[in-house]
Amino acid sequence: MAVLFIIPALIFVTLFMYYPIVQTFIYSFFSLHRTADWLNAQFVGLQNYIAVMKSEAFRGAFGFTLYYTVMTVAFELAIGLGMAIATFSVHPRLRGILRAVLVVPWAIPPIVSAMLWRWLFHADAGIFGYLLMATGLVSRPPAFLTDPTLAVHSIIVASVWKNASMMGILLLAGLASIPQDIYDAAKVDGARTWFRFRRVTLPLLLPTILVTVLFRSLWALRMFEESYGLTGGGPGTTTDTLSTFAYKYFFTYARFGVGSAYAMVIFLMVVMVAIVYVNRVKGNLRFKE
Amino acid sequence: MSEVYVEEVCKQYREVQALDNITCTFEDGQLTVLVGPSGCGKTTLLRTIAGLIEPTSGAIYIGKRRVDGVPPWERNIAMVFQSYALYPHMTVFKNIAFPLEATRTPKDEIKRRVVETARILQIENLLDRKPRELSGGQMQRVALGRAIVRKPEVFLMDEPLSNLDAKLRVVMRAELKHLQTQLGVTTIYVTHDQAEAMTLADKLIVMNAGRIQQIGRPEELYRHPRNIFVAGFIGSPPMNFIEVQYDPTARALVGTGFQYPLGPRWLDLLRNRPAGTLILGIRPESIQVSNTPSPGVVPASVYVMEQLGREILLDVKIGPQTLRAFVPADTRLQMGQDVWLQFHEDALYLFDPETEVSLSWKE
Ligand SMILES: Nc1ncnc2c1ncn2[C@@H]1O[C@H](COP(=O)(O)OP(=O)(O)O)[C@@H](O)[C@H]1O
Ligand SMILES: [Mg+2]
Repeated sequence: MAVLFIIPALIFVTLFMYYPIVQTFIYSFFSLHRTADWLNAQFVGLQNYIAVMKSEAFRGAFGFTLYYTVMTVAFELAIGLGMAIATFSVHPRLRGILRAVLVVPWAIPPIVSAMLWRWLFHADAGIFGYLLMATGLVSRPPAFLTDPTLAVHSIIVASVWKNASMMGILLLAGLASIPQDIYDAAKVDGARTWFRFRRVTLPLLLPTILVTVLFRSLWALRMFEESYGLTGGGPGTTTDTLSTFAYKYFFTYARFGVGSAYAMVIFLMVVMVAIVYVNRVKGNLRFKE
Repeated sequence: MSEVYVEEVCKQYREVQALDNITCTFEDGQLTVLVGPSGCGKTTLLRTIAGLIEPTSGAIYIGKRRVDGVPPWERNIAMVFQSYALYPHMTVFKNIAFPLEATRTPKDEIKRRVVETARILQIENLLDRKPRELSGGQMQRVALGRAIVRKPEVFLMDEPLSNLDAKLRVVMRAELKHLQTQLGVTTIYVTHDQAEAMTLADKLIVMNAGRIQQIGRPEELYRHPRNIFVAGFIGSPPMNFIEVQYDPTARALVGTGFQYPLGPRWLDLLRNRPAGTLILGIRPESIQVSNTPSPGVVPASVYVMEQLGREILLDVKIGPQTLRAFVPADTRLQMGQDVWLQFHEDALYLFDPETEVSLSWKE
């Protein structure tokens, strides 16, 4: 009887959550160009996947996405942790204000912040180029967004600026959830600041760190807006991510078959990362009970 | 081991004066109890001594060293918290070892001392457990272990037993007293429970509203309370208070429905006092109840009887005022019955209604 009541919800969830995945999965086995009519298209087996794996551009996008994820998450964690600790150490009355300031970059819509940074990095009108010129370190403004190496790192800088504060907020909540008595106990036990941080604060914050890093990594692996907004994936395909790449296949080249294969590969990677992480985090959450 | 001396310490929070000019000594090797009602500033004083709170003004000495301004980790103190504050991610061994590791003790010595401490507290079999696998009493022992392991100059304890159930509390109280005497470390113990304070203390410091009310040995405070607050706070059930008029010509205290003739000791103490209102104090255990009148007794009527087993706790009414007294457990009484109360003169206290100070108080 109870099953009957679940059925409508089940259908709903299946339709809205899994239907797109199922559809993409089906598309990825057909040769679809400028059409999504897979029933009348040619079945190509794993050829789309083989094409994906063989593609130089895919490997480039894969490499960049991975590099981007590792770099941004590492810097965001370091900076976010710094911000959280700084905010936590000030007087409680100031803490609220500081927290509000911290949240601003994160509250800006991603595509807007990408545009903002595009202007900051602009070769002729950008403030960074101007400042570097003013110090006399360079004679011409650097090509922040058109030089391959610079473009990669400009995107990373813009992302770190935007997301470090979110990390900071989450870690601050983690810090605040550790009972004050524990910090005080460590102080009277003779532990100096660094010892306390290493032996008490950090281990107790670890579950929060792991969860935060997990969510941020999954987010970063699917990054789209920063590349799309700052460089459009350029120069060439240097800053194409897995997402911008799939997007191009879908909407620029209208190759739905190969595009779907790309999407499936991204999907599987993200799921795998999630599974590995969640298992690790679970093990580290136990002492919190 | 050292004496702790607190000199003219004040702590001002925005509207609250949590500590108001506190001066006191905590003698070397003794257990001193800070006692007072909730919110009177006990925790604030203890944390100020620990260095977790900086006083607004005043000085604090541990031994010969002035420590205000010195961070807690350089004060060589140990503290037991009401919440125990064990490190949840460490085993019992690691918890107890923490203060030693923090002060860079060699590894083999850490092991030796942790094991020795665990043996004293009978928790050797718990060393591999995490705090979440312990009962309240066991956590309490670990918290004590962490405090005693590094042989600090001073133990600070903030209501360490109040999270235990009543039975265990009594057991731990005795053990704590034994341990403290054995180790001989200066101990400052905070509690709001006067019974706990009386049983543990070598010396008591009674606080109220950020001020010290009286300092002394438990029996001193019981016998010679300085003011109404201390008289009402120490002892259970608390001292009875009745408003009376002092009549010098009649040489008596006059209350509702009774006249209490004063003896030479009281007449001497009241020699220079004009007629007027006084507060009479008498402990429940000092009242004799009889069911026949005799000269100098106070008439009352039975209001409530509480059978305690060993004796009966009696609530009686004198006019509108209620008094409590003890009678033997086999006494036959009925509600509303008339009884007569005898106050022994030596057990009587008189307080000035303005200053609330005891008239028999001598500095
Ligand atoms: N951080 C604080 N800010 C403002 N007022 C405080 C603070 N800590 C304590 N107080 C106030 O100081 C007084 C004494 O507190 P406390 O020392 O904790 O009392 P006790 O331990 O005797 O119950 C209380 O009135 C309390 O409200
Ligand atoms: Mg308190």
